[in-house]
Amino acid sequence: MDDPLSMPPAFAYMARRLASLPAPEASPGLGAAWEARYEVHSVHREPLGAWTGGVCGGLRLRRGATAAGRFGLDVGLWLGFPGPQSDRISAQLTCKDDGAGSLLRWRRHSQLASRSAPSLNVPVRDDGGGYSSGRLVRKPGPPLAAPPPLVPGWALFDTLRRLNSPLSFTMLEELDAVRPGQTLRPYRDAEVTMRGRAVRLRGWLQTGPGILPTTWWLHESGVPLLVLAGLRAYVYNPSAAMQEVTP
Amino acid sequence: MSHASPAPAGITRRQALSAGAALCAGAPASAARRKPNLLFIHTDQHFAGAIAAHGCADVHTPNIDRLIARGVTFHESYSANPVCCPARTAWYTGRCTSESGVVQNDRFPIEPAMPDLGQWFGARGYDALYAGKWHVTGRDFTPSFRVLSHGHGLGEHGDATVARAAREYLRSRRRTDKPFFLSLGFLQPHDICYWVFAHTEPLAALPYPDLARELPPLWPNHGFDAREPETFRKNWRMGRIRQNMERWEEWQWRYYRWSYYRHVEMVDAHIGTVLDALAESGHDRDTAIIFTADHGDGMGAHQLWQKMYFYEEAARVPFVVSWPGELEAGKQDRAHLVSGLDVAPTLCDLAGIEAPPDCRGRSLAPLLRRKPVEWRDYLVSEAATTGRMVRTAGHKFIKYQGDGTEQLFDMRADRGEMHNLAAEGSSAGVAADHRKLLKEWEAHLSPSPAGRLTGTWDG
Repeated sequence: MDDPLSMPPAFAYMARRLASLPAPEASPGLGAAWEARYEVHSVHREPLGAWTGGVCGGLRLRRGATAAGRFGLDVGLWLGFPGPQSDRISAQLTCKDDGAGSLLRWRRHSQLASRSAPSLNVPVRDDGGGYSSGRLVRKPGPPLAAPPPLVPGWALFDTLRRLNSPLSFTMLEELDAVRPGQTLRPYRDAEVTMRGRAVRLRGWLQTGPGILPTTWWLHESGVPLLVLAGLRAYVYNPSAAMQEVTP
Repeated sequence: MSHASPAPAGITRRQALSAGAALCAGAPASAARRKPNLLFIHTDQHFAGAIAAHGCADVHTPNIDRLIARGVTFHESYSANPVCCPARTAWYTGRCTSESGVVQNDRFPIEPAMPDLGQWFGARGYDALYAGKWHVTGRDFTPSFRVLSHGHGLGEHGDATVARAAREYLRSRRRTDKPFFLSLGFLQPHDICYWVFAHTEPLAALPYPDLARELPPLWPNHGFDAREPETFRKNWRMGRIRQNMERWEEWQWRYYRWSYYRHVEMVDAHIGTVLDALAESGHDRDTAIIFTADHGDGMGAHQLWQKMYFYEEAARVPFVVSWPGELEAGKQDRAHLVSGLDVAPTLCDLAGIEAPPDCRGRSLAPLLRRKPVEWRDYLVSEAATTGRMVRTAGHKFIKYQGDGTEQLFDMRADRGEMHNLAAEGSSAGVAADHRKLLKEWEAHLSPSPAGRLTGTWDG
């Protein structure tokens, strides 16, 4: 096992979640379509105690095949909250097939929903926008300067499948927060067990303003299996539950 | 204001009379004018110094910076009680925590009859709305406010949703709707608590070696005056977490502060989402904004973390008021002492409505509008597990609970609070003056049962 003091703090805890999940089959070729689901975990350590957490949402990603130098990325995200309430997003992104997966345009449908208090439900809202020449145009919303390449955070799940050298970029987080000065670079390898089989993971490290060091752990096929940010983790699980935007 | 109802964020009687007059003078010139919308944005565990526009070169806060650029910033701004529940109760009632009863986190409930700002504005023609962290013990916020989002116990999960909820509300508003009082409780940079839990043990090495060159240099007040009161040492320098942190090497403290700044940057982006939505909705010129935080974070100053004590990093918080077209833009106020207790009377004054009864804070409106007003010359902050702090223009005096030991710092010559003057005979007169101010302030309190239970400060 890797030295726990030199690894991201939540790695060992979240690696245990992978133990009962299947490793992915061979990855589709570069530029081909793929689909993946992730559990969204809330994870933290009790004071002087053990790590704890659980599933608090889901992420669904569906990438289309490259055509005319671009590809589509269909995203579903839901996060559960006390109340109980949920924050659901469905988005259709068009990205450039330029190695970074930089954004061209997007359309988003957002929904805040409450099961216990229907009066809190917010109708589905639609917005969208595009990006060119270092300018993010949002409809509605004021334009924003964003140094290129502007990469949606969700597109990194695709970008990393083929990345083989460090990448500097501006991240568009959940299509809301512009976070310039991001860097992705190779990190270290690690080994985990998935359904009784040893699986080697290739690590990448993302750092930059507005995020805690985020480690991306890739299967040999290139599929990200585990993403660890501060208190959030994404775990590859083809059967992860989803709550979709419901008109 | 009467003797029984002073304004004890800390002022003299003569000034209290003047304050009452100022409150009246601060009302809008035209009663017929439409009331402004009010947007109250608050972060959690955010030290005033952890903002780029406040001179911190190690953090990027372009959105808070733009709020500062278009508003009035009060630099000498202190939490009424540097703990979550008490500080928030002070905002929403305008009452000292000894009086509201919420003297600690989650233990003592608010006095049931004490109105909160949601009820207050809702009964006075406002649409009172809330999204995010509330944390006022014993008061469900759903009857007081229309709640857009309950938020999440972790900022990394919930803050984006709080911003989205605010944006969708602003997008859906019609110009003919009632004016709004929208309170947004962002949780970051509070997640730094969990960061410390995750990194309590001394690390063998930085998990991300490439970050070494990004860590901020060690700060001048990393050390501390060993003449700290025993009560402080018992509360804050003992226990297993603290013992682990004592074994941290300097770079781990720097890594902690580096991580704290990243948490601040997380929430800065969400504040940007809200400011953009306000502009997009066309309400930016008819909305007054107050931005502040409940308390700060130790950030490794004096080798401390967390809050609940009165060193600057834990007690001094941002306080910005912005109202384009109505208030000055880019004004930096370093002269006036401001308290979290001032939030309620200021919001009410900007709205042109009376403040809740027995409000202990003061409206900042006269200062914001450059009207002549005699301001307080001291304020008091309290924390049930620690004691009380008196802040004057020149000094900070802390009287600790339990054995009543004291600290005194010269805030002009020793901003880093590295030299406790209380133990030195040459400053006995200054300490005595501050002791007297504290007695005067305490004499005006009407403590709740919980306040009486935990508010025995005389040792």
